[in-house]
Amino acid sequence: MKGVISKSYGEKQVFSELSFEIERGDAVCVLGASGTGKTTLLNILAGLTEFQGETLDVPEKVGYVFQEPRLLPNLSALENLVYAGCERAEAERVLDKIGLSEHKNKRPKRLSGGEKQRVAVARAFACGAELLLLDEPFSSLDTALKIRLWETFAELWKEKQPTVVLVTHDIEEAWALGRRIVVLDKGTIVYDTRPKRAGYPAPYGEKTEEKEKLLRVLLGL
Amino acid sequence: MKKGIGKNLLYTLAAVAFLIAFWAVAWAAVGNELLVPSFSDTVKEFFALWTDGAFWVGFLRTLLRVLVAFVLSFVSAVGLAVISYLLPPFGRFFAPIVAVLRSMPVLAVLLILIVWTSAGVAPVWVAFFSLFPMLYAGTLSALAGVDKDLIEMSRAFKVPVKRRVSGLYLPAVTPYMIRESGAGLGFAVKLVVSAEVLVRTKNSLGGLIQNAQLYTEMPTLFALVVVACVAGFAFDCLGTAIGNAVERRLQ
Repeated sequence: MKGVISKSYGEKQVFSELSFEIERGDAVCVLGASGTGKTTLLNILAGLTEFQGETLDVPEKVGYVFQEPRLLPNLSALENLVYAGCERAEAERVLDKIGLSEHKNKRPKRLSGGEKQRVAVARAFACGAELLLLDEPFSSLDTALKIRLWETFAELWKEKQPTVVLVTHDIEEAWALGRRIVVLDKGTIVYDTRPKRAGYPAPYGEKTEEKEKLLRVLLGL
Repeated sequence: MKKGIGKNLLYTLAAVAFLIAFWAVAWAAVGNELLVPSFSDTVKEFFALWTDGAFWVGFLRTLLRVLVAFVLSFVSAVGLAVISYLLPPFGRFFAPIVAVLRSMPVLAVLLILIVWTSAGVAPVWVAFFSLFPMLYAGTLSALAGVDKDLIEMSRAFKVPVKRRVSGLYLPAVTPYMIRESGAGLGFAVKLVVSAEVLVRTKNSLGGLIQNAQLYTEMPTLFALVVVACVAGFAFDCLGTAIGNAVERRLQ
């Protein structure tokens, strides 16, 4: 997947010929401060936002995990997956795998915040997406639940190997889930690395020189 | 929930009791049956109407006019509102036309309509011209109220249009549209009966009201007005109750 894109909102230039290339089946975490265009980049990749641009080559089948679960209130967890285009059997299997087998027939209002976000993650994986876009999907969850979900996410990713672009401002999350980490600042890639870690996902709080360097890059923005 | 319904019913009964008490006081103060008939005489007349064939013919024909006006305005308003929602330039083109219809003095237009049509058809058009802008605005507002985040999610997952309509749009707008339809039908009763009175439509509730006024049969006149009020109120309440029930079921 590759592209060269430009995007501006009126006077404000978000990207000016941002060039990128992502290997098929890679998991890229995009780090950066608020307002650097991370969500705009995902929306362009999903085809939700127009861009003034040069070229963009993106797979047809896209899955998206938003900051909020965005589930239809009138449908059960399982029906929400079917609505998004997942095969029923595969939807049930992924919901079981993500630990929601008892809740699959419940509507969103009967699920906790964490359960709803797990349904959203299941929806993205179960629909056979070739490209998975995640916009700070775990930012509203407590640490324990977040770490459990990282593990589930990594397990599902290893099984299906979709191309992943995960946007976050949490260095721990990027370190845990990014097989490649990119730092974005003012619409430009300022740092790009393939970290060496102890497993996937990396253990929470792992300390390495490379991670320290990444932290210094972020602090210097 | 049941506690809330009981409380609402209590308030409604208190309001009805207040209106009856006000009527009784007005009747006692005026002291003239030709101006204000007693509540008991009106109630007797109200039930007597139920056994009167002419009343049923008039009442059912008025209801038919109400339904025809409602169906015509509902279909055209919903259809055009959907087009306006999907094609904003059409919506902008159509907005001034709706504004003209909204500000039109329909009972004055009735005088034109009676020339062009007949006393049986003109009340239908009067109701149509009032209901159409109301239902058009209601449908547009219901569509605009559909969760933008869910629309964006559906676009991201490339959900087919047919599934978006049945899974997202219909469940979101249906309760609102049912409530709006109930209110519209109630409003249509008021408009159709008013128009029937003005153009003296034969075999209609308005025509019966006109006759009762002509022969100064005040209890009958009041009873017929009560029938029109009850019919309008019933449509309104039914729409609200069904709309709320559907909304609860969908959530």
